[in-house]
Amino acid sequence: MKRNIISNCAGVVLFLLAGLAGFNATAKEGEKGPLKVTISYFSLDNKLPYLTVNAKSKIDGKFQPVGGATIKLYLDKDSTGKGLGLIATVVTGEKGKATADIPASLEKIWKASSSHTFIAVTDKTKDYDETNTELSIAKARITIDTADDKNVVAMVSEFKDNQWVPVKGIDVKMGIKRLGGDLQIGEEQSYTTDSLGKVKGEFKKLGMPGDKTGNIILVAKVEDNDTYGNLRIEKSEPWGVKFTANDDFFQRALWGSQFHSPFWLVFMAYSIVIGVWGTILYLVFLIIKIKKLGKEEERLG
Amino acid sequence: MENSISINNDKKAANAPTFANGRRKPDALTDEQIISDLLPRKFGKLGMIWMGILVVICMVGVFAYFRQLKYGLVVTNMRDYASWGIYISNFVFFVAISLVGSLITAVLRLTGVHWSTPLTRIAEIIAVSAITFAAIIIIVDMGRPERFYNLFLFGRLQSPIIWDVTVITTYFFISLLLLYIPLLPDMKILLATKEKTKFYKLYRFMGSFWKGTHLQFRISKKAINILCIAIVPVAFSIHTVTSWLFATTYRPGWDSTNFGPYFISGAFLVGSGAVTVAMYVFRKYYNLKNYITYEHFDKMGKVTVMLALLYMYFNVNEFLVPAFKMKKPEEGFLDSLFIGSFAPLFWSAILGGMIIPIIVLLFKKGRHPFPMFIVGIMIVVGAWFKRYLIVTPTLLHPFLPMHNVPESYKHYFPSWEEWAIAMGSLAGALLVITIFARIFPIIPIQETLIEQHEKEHHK
Repeated sequence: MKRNIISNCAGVVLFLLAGLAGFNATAKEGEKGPLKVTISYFSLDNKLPYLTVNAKSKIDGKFQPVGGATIKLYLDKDSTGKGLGLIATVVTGEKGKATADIPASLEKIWKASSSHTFIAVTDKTKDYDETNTELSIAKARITIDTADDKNVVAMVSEFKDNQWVPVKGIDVKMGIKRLGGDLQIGEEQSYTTDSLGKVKGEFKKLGMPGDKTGNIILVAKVEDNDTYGNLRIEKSEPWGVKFTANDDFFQRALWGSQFHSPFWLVFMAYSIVIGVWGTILYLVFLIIKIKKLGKEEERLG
Repeated sequence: MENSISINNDKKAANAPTFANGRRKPDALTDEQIISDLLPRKFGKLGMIWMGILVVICMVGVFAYFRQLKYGLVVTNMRDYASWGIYISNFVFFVAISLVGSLITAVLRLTGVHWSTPLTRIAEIIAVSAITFAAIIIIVDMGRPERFYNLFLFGRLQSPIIWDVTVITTYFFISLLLLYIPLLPDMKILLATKEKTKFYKLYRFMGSFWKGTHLQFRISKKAINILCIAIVPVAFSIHTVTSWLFATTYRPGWDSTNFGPYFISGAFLVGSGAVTVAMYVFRKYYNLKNYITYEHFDKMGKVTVMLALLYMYFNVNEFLVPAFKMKKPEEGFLDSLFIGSFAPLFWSAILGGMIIPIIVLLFKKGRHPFPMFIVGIMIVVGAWFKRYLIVTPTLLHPFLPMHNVPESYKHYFPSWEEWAIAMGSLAGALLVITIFARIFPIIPIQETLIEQHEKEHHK
C-alpha cells in the first residue's frame, strides 16, 4: 500500500516535471537558433565559377531560410587579410539564398593555385551572432563527348601540378536538359569514372522532342562532391525529334483567339444579335412612323 | 374611344358610389379625377428628405470611387482569392431585379392579365434603373476602367463576358423602349395639364408628336406587343448568361447545370418583392389607394408565393444534391454555408428571403398592403445577401488549398469604400426611380382611362 502511495507520488512528480519541461519547451517557441551559413561551389561549362550561399536558422524547432542576411564572401583570405580576396558582399533573398560570381579582379589569385578556400562571414546582428564558414575545393573540369552510336562519354579531370589529371571514382550523372530538370539518358542514375577519369553511357531516350532542328542538350554533371563541388557541362546533339509548333491556337475552336470562334457559334450568335437588334431597329422605325403621323396630324390641324 | 382622352362630366362624379370610409370606388372615378390623381406631383417634406438622403449616400459612394480610382483596387478588401466581392454580388442583384420588367409587363400582358396595368410602369422603371446600375457596377469593379473599350476591341465571341455585355446592352434598350412607348399617350395629357411646369420642354421633346390618332394607337399597340414578345427571351438570356459567368467556371458551388433556372427563378422573386415594396410606397405617399388596391396586393402576393416556392425548389436542387454526395472538394464550401462562418447569413437569407414570406403570404391577411411591404423588404434584402453568398464563399474555397498566402487572402469582408460604393449604387437606382416618379406618371394614365371606359362600356 505504502509502495503504491510512493509510486503514485512519484508519478505525480514526474507528470509535473514533464509538464514543466513541456511548459519550458512552449516558452522557447518563437526563439531563433544560431545562423547557419553553407557555401556551394559551381562550375558551368568549365568557365569562371560562381558560388551560392544559403542562410538558415532553427526557428520554432525547424530550419527556416533567413532572408536579408548580409554575407561577405572571400577567396582564400578573409577580412583579417585586409580585404584582399573579397569576392562579393551579398544579401540573402526570401528563400535564404544568394549568388555571387568570382570577379575578374581575382583571376590571378584563382589561377595561382589548384585548390582554394571560400570563406563566408556574417557580422553580429541583433538576431544572430557573427559566423564564419569555409569551403575548400580542388579545381576540376568535366568534358563531354559523343559518338555516332549514340554513346555519351564524360571525363572528369583535376588541375594538379599545372596539368589536368583524370580522376577515378567520381560519381557523374548524365542526362538530357529539359524544362523542369535533367532527364537521365539511360537506365543508370549515375556512373563512376574509371582510371582514365571517364564514364560512358548509352543514350536510350530515342524519340525525345528536341528543338525545331531536332537538337537536344546533353548534360554531364558532378553534384555536391566534397572535393570538387558542382561541375556541369552541356552539349547540343541532333538526337531528338524535330519539334513542330502546334498551331491549334489559331484554328476555329471554343478556346481559339479573337476572330477564331467556331462557325456554328458565329452563326448562332450573329443570328440572335441581328434578330434582336433588327427588332429594336424596327421598333425605332415604328416610333419614327408615329412621329410622322403626329406631325401630319398637326399640319392638317 | 381610344383617341378620346375626354375629361368626363361632373354628373358621374356626383352620383359616384363610395366605400363606407367615404373613399370612391375605382369604378366610379371620373376621367378628371383619374388624371388629377395620377399626374406627377411636387415632393413634400418627406420626399425632399428622402431625396436628400439618397443624394448624400450617392455622394459618399462617388467619393469612395474617387479613392478607388486614385489608389487602385487595393482600397477594397478583394485579394487574390476573393477577387469578386460585393461589387459582383451587387451586379447580380441588379440584373436579377431588372427582370421584373419582363415579368409584370410582358408575361402578364401576353397572358391577358389586366390587373397588372397599374404596376407596369413601376416594374419598367425598376428594370431600367436596375440594369443601368448593373452596367455601372461592372465598370466600378474594374481596376482600370479606362481600358473598358478593349473589351469591344479584343473581346472573344466565345467568352460569356462578351455575351453578358451584349445582352445587358440589348436588355437596357428594350426596357427603355418598353418604358417609353406606353408613356407616349400620357405625354399628351402631361402637355395639356402641365403647361407651366419646368418639365414642359422635356414633355414636348419626348412626346409632342403624340396626337392620339387611331393609327398612332394601332402602331403603338403593335410596338408594345412586339416588345413584350422580344423582352421575354432577352430577359431569360440576360440572367442565364449572368449565371453562366459562374457556371462555366470550375469551382465548388458554381459547377452546376442548375444555375440558369436557379438564377431566373430567384430574379423573378426579388423583382416581385421590389415591385411590392414600390407599390406600397407609391400607394401610401402618392395617395393611390384607388388605383393600387388590396386586390393588387392580394394578386401580387399569390404571384410572389408561387415564385418563392419555385425558387425554393431550385435551392433544394442547388444545395441538397451536392450536400448528399458531399464530395471532398465541395465539403469546405458547403460546411461554411451550413454550419460555418457563412451559416448565419445563409440561413437568414433562406428563412427571411423565402420561407417566412411563403408562410406569411399563404394567409389572406398576409397579402394586405403592410404585411406585403414587410415581406417585400425581406425578400429584397434576403436576395441581396443571397447573391453575396453565391459569389464570396465559393471564391474562398478553391479546389487547391491556400498555401503560403497572407492571412488577409483567406478571408473577405468588404472595406468601407466597397460598402459606400455598393450602397451608393443602390441609392442611385432608387434616385432614378424617385426622379422618374417626380417627372412622369408612375401609373399609366391613358391605360387606366381606357380600362375605366371599357368597364363602363361592359356595364
